[in-house]
This record gives sequence, structure tokens and C-alpha cells, in this order.
Amino acid sequence: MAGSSSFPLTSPALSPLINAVGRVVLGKEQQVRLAFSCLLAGGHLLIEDRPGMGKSTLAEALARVFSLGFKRVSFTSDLLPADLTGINVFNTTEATFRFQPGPLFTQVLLADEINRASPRTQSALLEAMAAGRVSLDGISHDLPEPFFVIATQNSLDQVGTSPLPEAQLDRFLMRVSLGFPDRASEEELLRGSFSPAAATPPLLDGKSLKQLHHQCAAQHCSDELINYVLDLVAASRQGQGGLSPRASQALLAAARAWAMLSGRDYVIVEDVQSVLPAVVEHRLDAGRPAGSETPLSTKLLERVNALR
Amino acid sequence: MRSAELTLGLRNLYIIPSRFGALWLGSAALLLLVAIQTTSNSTLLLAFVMLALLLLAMFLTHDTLQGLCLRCGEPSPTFAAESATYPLLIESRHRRPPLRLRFRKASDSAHVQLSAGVTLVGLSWRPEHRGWQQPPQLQIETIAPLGLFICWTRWNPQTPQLIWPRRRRGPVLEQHPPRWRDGLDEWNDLRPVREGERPAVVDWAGVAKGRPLQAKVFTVPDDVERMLKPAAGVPIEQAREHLADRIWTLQQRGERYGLRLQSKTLSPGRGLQHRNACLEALATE
Amino acid sequence: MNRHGRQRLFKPETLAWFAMPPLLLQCLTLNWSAALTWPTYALLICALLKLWRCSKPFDRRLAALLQLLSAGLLASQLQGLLATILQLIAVSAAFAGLLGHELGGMLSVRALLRRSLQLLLAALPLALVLFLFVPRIAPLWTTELGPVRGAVTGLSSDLDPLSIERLATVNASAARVSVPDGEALPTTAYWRVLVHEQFDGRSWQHRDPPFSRQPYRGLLNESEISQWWVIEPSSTRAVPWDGRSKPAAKDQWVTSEGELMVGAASRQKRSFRLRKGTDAMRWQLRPPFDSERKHPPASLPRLKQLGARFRSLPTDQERLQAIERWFKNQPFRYSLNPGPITDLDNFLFENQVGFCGHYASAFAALMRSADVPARVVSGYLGGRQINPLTGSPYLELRQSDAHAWVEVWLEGTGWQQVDPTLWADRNAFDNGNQGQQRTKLTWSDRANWSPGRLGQWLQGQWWGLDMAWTRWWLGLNQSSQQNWLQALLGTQQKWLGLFVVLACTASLSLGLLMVQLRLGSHQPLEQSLRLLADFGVTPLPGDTFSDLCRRAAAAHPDRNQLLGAMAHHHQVLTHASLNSHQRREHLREWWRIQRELGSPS
Repeated sequence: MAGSSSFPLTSPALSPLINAVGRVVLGKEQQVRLAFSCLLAGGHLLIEDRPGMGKSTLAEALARVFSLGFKRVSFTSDLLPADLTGINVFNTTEATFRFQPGPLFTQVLLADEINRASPRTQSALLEAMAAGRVSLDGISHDLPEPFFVIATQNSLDQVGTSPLPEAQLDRFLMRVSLGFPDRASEEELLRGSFSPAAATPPLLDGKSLKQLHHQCAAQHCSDELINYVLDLVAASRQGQGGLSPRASQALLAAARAWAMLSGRDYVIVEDVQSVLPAVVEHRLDAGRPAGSETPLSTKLLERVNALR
Repeated sequence: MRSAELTLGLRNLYIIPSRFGALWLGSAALLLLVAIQTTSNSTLLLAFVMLALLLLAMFLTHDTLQGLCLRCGEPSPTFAAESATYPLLIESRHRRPPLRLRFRKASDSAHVQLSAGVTLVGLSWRPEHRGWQQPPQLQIETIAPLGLFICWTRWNPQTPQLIWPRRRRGPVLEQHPPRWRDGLDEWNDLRPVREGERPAVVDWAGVAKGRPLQAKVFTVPDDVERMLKPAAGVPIEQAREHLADRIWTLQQRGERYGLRLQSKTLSPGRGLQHRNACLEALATE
Repeated sequence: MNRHGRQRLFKPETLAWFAMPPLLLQCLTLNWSAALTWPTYALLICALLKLWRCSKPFDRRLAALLQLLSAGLLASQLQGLLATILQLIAVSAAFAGLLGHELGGMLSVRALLRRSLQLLLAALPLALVLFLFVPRIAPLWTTELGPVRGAVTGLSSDLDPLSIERLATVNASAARVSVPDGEALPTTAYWRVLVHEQFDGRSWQHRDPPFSRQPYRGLLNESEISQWWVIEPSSTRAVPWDGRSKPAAKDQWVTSEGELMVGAASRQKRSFRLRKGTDAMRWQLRPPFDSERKHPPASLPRLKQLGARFRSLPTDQERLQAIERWFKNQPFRYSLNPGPITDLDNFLFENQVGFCGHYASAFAALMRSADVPARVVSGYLGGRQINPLTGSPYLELRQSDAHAWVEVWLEGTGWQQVDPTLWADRNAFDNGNQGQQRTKLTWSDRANWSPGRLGQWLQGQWWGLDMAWTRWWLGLNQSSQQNWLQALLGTQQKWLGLFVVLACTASLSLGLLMVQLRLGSHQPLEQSLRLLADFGVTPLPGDTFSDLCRRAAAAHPDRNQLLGAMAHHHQVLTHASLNSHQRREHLREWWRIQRELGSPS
């Protein structure tokens, strides 16, 4: 499967960015690369883990390194959709409604503890994620370009939460779990040899990001590779459920980004295999990790002949 | 003979000429006759080439299947009376011409073209009864490459597949009848605006209509929990089918439910795992 | 599972269509009155319809089988080089089409063609063993369904002097003959075809002899062959020969008149061989029939009168010489455009201008009225020697070489050939005697090239090839088979059955080996997988090729570099977008690594 330990090649243009984020989130190169792939593929990212694993730190570092404007919203149960999207405030002196944009109008929205908000608020956010705009009282307001949502979610928290429904989970390109750091990284953490998220230098401007997006979309996918992705989604659809066409698109887009991170201009089977757990796991288990069992994505990989 | 794994070889492969093979042989014989009558070398050679190809095809057709290794996959549960997919893992050392797999009683068959490595093939069949069911006898056959011979084997895969009761709409006993939340209303009351109130809760529409500034009062709809039980007065098998259907729809809606059967009780919950546990209980208890 | 998304220009079904044009082309040259023509057409039309309207896979396979069958039937009727090549193309295409029905999804068209040729080649050893060593049997029954109609240029059974004239201006090829290497081609020989023994005062008619086959006995040695003939379609069953050679096959026989008959349908190109004959043939000694003595009818009074004058001479020989003298004393002139000649009296005593038909008719009639049995023979005279670049020289007879001469019965010596045309004054003013040109074209004179000449030259070359092929291919017959069986087994002929069985087994194994060796070897991935299997690494579910290489490298650290490089090249070859040059480079590198990995460390 995906070799998680070694990354022999990194695109020279992108390695400073990865290193910069890697100095903030120690010992999580795989997750950092996944997060990068997600953003390069133009998708929204869901980071899920226990509290205190550095979810928000990663999110903030990502936003800063791309030098994108970002806002952070802590989702709570009493958060209203209007708290996100903004409201039409009635100006009594002019007797007109004036649109007051909410925190959604930013390039990167850090949605902390997204599963704590009410389903209604979540769906307002997800509409913005899907369409890139917000509709209020019949008027639609376009969100800035690019628009990313990096949401975090507490995996232990089950009480008083509203888990994201399947259709809305599908909007997230990837779900990444951070997991415990290894001993060496934690030691560095304790010794304080890490840089805080707020100190992450902006290394890329908006124009370069756009270029990267184009470059990512132009990565070459061979027939064999497309067939592999098709076989994967076909295998997932045997039995109940299965991956949506959006999921297969997402899989290929993420694989393209992963290939670009590896400094290649074509996509190989390993790229797909590397991003597959992050891309499909949350779509297959509908938001509830299977726990100790073999991950569904691993099973899926074993069902498709990858010798091509 | 049931087994979890089958390697195709001389012991379990059968081969006979197909109808086309018989026609081919007849044609070769006819050409032989023509060649003798007209003393034509070319026709004679063609007749012999056709005979030689027939013999060669016997080995080639056999080779198409020989050495394949079939293993049961992990079948995912399905409802009875619906098309179920039984996964088979087929391992091949090299690329092979197409072959056909089907369950003997099933109508449709799967045509697969194997490349080197392990390939997963889903075979459909139609289970009629709930519980852990073994699939029918499997037939693997091929006529490749020339269609002159048909080579086949039969196998009973060992791994059973969990079949849930079939889905059928019908009455189900619910201990807490559903209280439908009024999803249309965002808020259910208004109160005067306090100092420091967020603008999001202010009823701006009311302000526009000339009313004083008021704040909306929201209710957080609490989850409705229900325990499902077989309906009284319905045969138990049929009641199971109704329950299966109800569980399916509740899961689709994302609601919480529990299940109480005579021998087993599952406390309310939601999610795929919970649904699967409930349906498995319905199928096997 | 491994379907190619790319749209292909040719689908496997198209391959089957490629068999149609060669088959149809050959069909058009078939003779409508031959027995096998109609079945061939029927099969071909069935194949066409099946191919067109096939709904089930079985139909498509059936179409391929019908194509093969019709190719077989065509092969029994058309045996020239061009026909054989077309049949070969048709059979290969039909077979590739058949293979394509099952393997079309797996192989590209090129690979499919390669595979089908490979299978045909693999079947060839066994087929050749059967072909060479299974004893041939003679035709089980004979049919006399000879063609009777059809407009074909050639000699006709009714020798009206005019018809020969028409023929003399036709430049089409009539026949080709070659002789064993080292022997000179008889360029001035008379090639007899038809014997006309019935005279009605105007034309000489050929009587179809009753079918009387002289059983052919004995086997033929290749060294006994004296002539190889290829005859263009003609309207007669009789074929040109020198009057001395002997039949070499069961379907050839010599009639009592001295005509050589060949059993094969005459409206098609025929080819046959003849044996050396040294002694006099039976036909030469057969006493004349009454019809060969019959005096000319009363409508030719002056001719009869002249003939009666010679009756007083005691012997046939003297009468012949007297008539020859008479001819030579008269001012006869040779011309292909003699002007209107009403009858033979008119020709002999007034006009005295004519060509071979006139001379032969008049002379034969004169001999009969002098009480010497005589008959007219039509055939060909001479021919051109052609030395093709390939194969041995051959003699080409054209329709313009058609000739008529006379045979007279002389007591004691039998039928003797006399050519009265030679007595005519050939050096007179008339130059329109193309029909009797005896120019030997050697094609060595390349000074005056012209498109027409180039065409002729090319045709000559092609016929040379065709001749060589026909000589060789027809030579592999029952008698030559007995020869090589004799040479192989000697007196142990009773072991032939065992020998054939053993040879079949061996050749079948050889065929299987050929198939196995080439199986998928053009797939670099498959070769590498076999190689990795030798390293003890077999694919696990979900393994990529790089995973396999990594595992192999872990087990064999000394090959780490090579395995890594192999994985890299595989990735590039499969997934990167390469131009053809890069692809070649990577493939070469890949094969190099394969070889290096395959060799023991």
C-alpha cells in the first residue's frame, strides 16, 4: 500500500511550503501532504481527531502558508446559519436592508468542531461549500476565490453533536486523521523546537496558487489509470452503498495533486492508493469510523487489481 | 464439494467440443472430400490446418482456465428477493482470454477478462430466504480462444452471505410514536432584545414592518427515539420484512431507533453499523 | 476488467470483412458451368449475409467458418499463384476475425493479427505432417459434369477456316509450358489440340470422342516429367500436347484420335504435367475410321476431279508427294486477309490466297478424294520462349499461334503430320502474316522500352513465377508422396500408421510449444511478473507493480537498484505521456533491465 515512511521526491517548487507546515505540525508529513493535495485539488478538508492533536494548528498553518485570508469560527450548538452567512440588517434611517457579510466571506474558513453545530447551520455551510456562494432572501452573494473550508471535528465527542450526513460529507474532498505523534516528534514538541502556527510565513501568493491549480488539473492520467479508478468505484458499489461519481472525481483530482507534490507530471497507481483512504473512507463509513476493524478503504484496495 | 478456495487444474476441468467445434470438424471433413475429388493440394492443406487448429484449440481452451485460483470474497449483506452480489477473488498469473462465470440457477452471467494479479468479480444471484445463505453452485466456463471447445468446472463457494429479510412495506409497532419536528419553523418565539445580543438573532424582518426590535427564540429539536417491534397480529416472518423496510427508511432519514425482538434487544442508535446490527438481528435471530 | 477506453479505428469484426474481397474476386473468375462454382457462390453469399446481419456471437463464428469453407472450395478450383495468395489472405483474415470474437476485447488489431498468424503457424507442423504423410487416395468417384457453354477464346471444335483467322489476330495467352531444367524448349513444335475428321464440304468438324478412359498405371518419378503445362480457360476439354508424351495423372487420357484430355473443368485455368514418351503412341497406329476416308461431298467437283487424278498412283506415299508437288507448282500465296473465298474449289483453282485453315482443309480434302485417309488437326505452332528473372524459362503460346495442319494415313507408317501451309509462297507481297511470326523474344533487348512492353515484360515475369509455383505445388501429388514415403520408410511401409501417429504427436507438441513460447511475451508487464515470480514474489491483493518490486528488492538486496529501475520504467511506460521516441527509449531500457535481472547474478 502507500508507503507512509518515505517520500523520495517532492516537487522543488512545493517542498518549502510542506517544510514550513511540517515545522508547525511535527512528524505528520503524510497528513500534511494529504492536506496540501486537498487544497491543490481545490477541495475542502475535514480534519478529524481527538482534542489536542493539533487539528486547528494544521488548519491555520495551511491557510497562512498559502497567504490566504482566513477566519475562524467555533461551531457551537447555538450557532445560527445567519451567524455564518451574514444578515440583511434593516437600516431604519434609510429604511433599506443592508447586507452584512458573515465570517463565511473569506478565503479560508476554519470551522472548528463542525459537528457541534445544528444540522441547519451545517447545511448552510455546506451549501456555500458546494456552490461557492450564499443566498439570502433571494439574493446570492458570491464568495471570494479561492474558497476553502478546513473543518475540524472531534472524533470522541458523541454527545450533543450532529454528525454530518452522508450527502454533506461527500462535499469534503478529504478527511484526515492526525493521530498521536511519534516519540521523537513529541520530544521536539516538549522541547519547544516547533514554530507556532501564527508564525508560519506566507510563501505563496494568490496568483501562484491559481497556477498550481491549473497545473494540477493538467496532470496526465493514462487510460490504465482511469480504468483503475473506474474499477475501484465499481468495486465499492458492489453491495449496499458505494462511491458517488463526485467521489471518483475527487479521487482522481486528489491523485493528480499527490502526483504533483511528488514532482511528477503524470499520475500513477500509487498516487491513487496513497490518497484513497483520505478521500473515500468518510464517504464509505458515513462519518462513523469502523473502529478497530480493517479500514474499508484498505479492503477496497485489496479488491481491485492494481498491477497496471 | 464446498470449499473456500479452488485451483483449476486437470482434476476439476471438463472439456468437450462445442456445437461450433462439431461444425468445424464437419467442414474440415467436407474440404477433405473436395480435396480428394479435385486432387487439390491447397484444399487438402487447408483441411489439415483446420484439423490441426481443432486439436490445438483443445489445449488452448483448457489453458484458458487452467491454473486459475478462485477464492470467496467477503460478501456484503443484502436483502432477500433482491439481486445479491457475491464477491469472488480470481487470481491469475498472466493475462487470460475472456471467461464466463455464473451461478447455475441465475439468469445473468459475468464475462470477465483477467489480467495478471488478483481480480474481484461480483456475481449476482437472487437469494429467497433470510439468514446466512450459501450461494448456488458456480459454473466457470470458457470457449476462448476459438469457440471450438467449451471448458468448464463447477464449484460450491463456501463462505455464506448474510441475507436480510426482504423489504416490504407494512405496519410496525413503535413504542414511542414519532413526533415530527416542525422543520419549517426556524424559531418558535420572540422576546425583547437584550443588551449585547448577536445581530443574527434579531428579527430584522419584523423591524422592517415597523415592529420593535425583537430577538428570536430557537428550540433545539431533541432527537426522537423509537423502539421498533414486530406488529401484533402479523405473521412473524412478515413482521420481520416490515421491520427491515422501516429500519432502512429510518436510516436513510438519519433518525435514531432501536429494535426489540423476542430474543434480542438493540438499544436506540443510528448509523450504518447500528443499521447493520439491527438487520442482522432480524435476519438471524 | 481491463478494457481500453480508446476508440479503435478497426474493430475485430472488421477483420472478418477483409476476407471478403479476395474471395469475391476469385469467385468472379469462376466458370459458371463448373460443378463447384454454385456451392462456392452459395457459401460465400451465406457468409456475407451472416457477417452483415450477425446478432449472436455464434453467427459471427459461423460466418468465419463459411469463409474458410468457400476459400477451400476456391482453392480446389483455382490453383495459380495469384489465386493461392488471395486464398492465403482470405484464410488469414477469416481466422483473425474468428479469433477476434473472443480476444477482441483483450488485444489490439495488430496484436490480434500477430496472434492469429502465430496460431496458424503453430497449426502448420501438424497440418504438414498430415499433408505429407497421410496416404492420398484417388478420387472416390468421377463426374462427367464438364462445362459445355461459355464464351471463351480458343480453338473451336468446328474448323471453319474463318474462325482460325479470327483467332490469329487475338494476342491473348493460350498456354504456357516448361520443361525440365537443362532441356531446350521446343520452340518450333506443333502442339496438337483437336482432331477434325468430319468434312461437310465447308468446315471440318471435331467429333467428341466417347468417354473411354485408359486406366493410368504406375507411379510417376519426378524425373519422368517432361512437361509442365498451364492452360488458360478454353472451350474444349482437349489440351495442347506434343502427341508423344504420356499422361501423368488419373484424370488425363489420350483419345484414339490423339487428343489429350484433362479431366478438370475446361473453363478454368488448368495445369497438368506430362510424362516422357519415347515409343509411338497408339493413336498413331490406329487404322482410319470410315469417316476419315469419306470422300468430299459433290459440292466440290473440281477438287474431286483433281484428287481422282492421283488415285492412279500405286502408294499413299506417292500420292502425297504428287499432291505436294502440285501445290508447290501452283502460285499459292499466304495471307491472313485472303478476301472472299466461296468454297475450296474457289481457293484451290482461282483465288489461291489463304492461310493455314484453307491450306489444311483443301489439302486434307484433296488427299481424301485421292483415297488417302486424312484429317485436319488444329492446335498451336511454336510459341515464344520467355526467360523470367525467377524460375526457369518457359514457352508461351498465344492464341495468335493457333495453327491448322493435316494428318494423313500412310499404310505401314500410320498417321503422319503434313503442314501444307509451308508450301505456300511466303515471300510474296503479303505481309499480314502476324499469325505465323516466329520471332523469338528474349527480352534481353532493352533498348526500346515502352509502357506496353514493360507491361508485357512484367506479365512474362509474373507468369514465370506462376509457372514455377504451379510446377512445384502440383508436383506434391499422390505419386510424389509415394516417392518420399518410399525414400523415408523403404520397405517398412507397414509402420506408416505408427509413424504418422508419432509425427502428429510430435508436431502437435511443437505447435503447442510455439503457442506457449509466444504467449503474451509482447507484454512487458507479464514478462516482468514471470521474472518476479522467479524471485519468489507473487502479487497479493491490491499490490502495485512497485510494491512487488519493493518486496523483491527486500528479499534480494543485491538486485535493489535494478528492481527499482524496473518499477520506475514501468510507471513511466504505463502512465506517462511519452512520444514514440521516448517510449522506445524506455522500452529498450526496460528490456535491458529484464535481461540483466533474468541472468543469474
